[in-house]
Amino acid sequence: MNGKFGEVRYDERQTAVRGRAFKWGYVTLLAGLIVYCITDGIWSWCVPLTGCAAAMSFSLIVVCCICIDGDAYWWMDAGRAGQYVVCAVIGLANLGLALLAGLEGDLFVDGRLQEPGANLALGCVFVSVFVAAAVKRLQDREAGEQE
Amino acid sequence: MKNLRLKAARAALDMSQQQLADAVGVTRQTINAIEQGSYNPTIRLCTAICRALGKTLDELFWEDVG
Repeated sequence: MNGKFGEVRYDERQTAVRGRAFKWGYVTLLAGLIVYCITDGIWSWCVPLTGCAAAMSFSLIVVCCICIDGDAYWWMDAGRAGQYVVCAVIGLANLGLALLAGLEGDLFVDGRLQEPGANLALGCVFVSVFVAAAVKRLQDREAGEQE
Repeated sequence: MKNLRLKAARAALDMSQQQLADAVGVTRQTINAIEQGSYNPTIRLCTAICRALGKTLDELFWEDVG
């Protein structure tokens, strides 16, 4: 067991936490899709691709935050520093793409959120994961990793 | 309910949570959760912990009711 991606392993408590996280993530996904369908039907604010991406992003945030809070996001022996950097880079890159699209006027067309909104949603996911992981790390440190 | 007997048994062997976690193949947070009483381990993990600490299931996990 050396932390290679192909050797990902979670212990029994982590598996239970992840099961709970996936349950709530699934509920959030369904709720998000329903909310998107209803609101888009009323005032057409978003293209379907972006609406679905936003719903998936919300559910991903729920899954990740529950896992992080339960110390079940990263597998055993994971090199966390690298994961933090990857989350931050992917999040900022996606937010950057959304910002560029916004500056070029491609983010909203006729008051409707376009495909670059998916980058915005994904960026929010990864930045949220980074922030949640950083906060959890700080909490653990403040607790002194007490035994 | 906190499992103080587990904590005491571990401390008696001068083991850290991480060392016990490595010995039984779980994360340190899982050992901490068991000691804090916020996670009920499976019988498989209980026996692994007992073996690692040289104790019986009764000594570490049996709760006298009443």
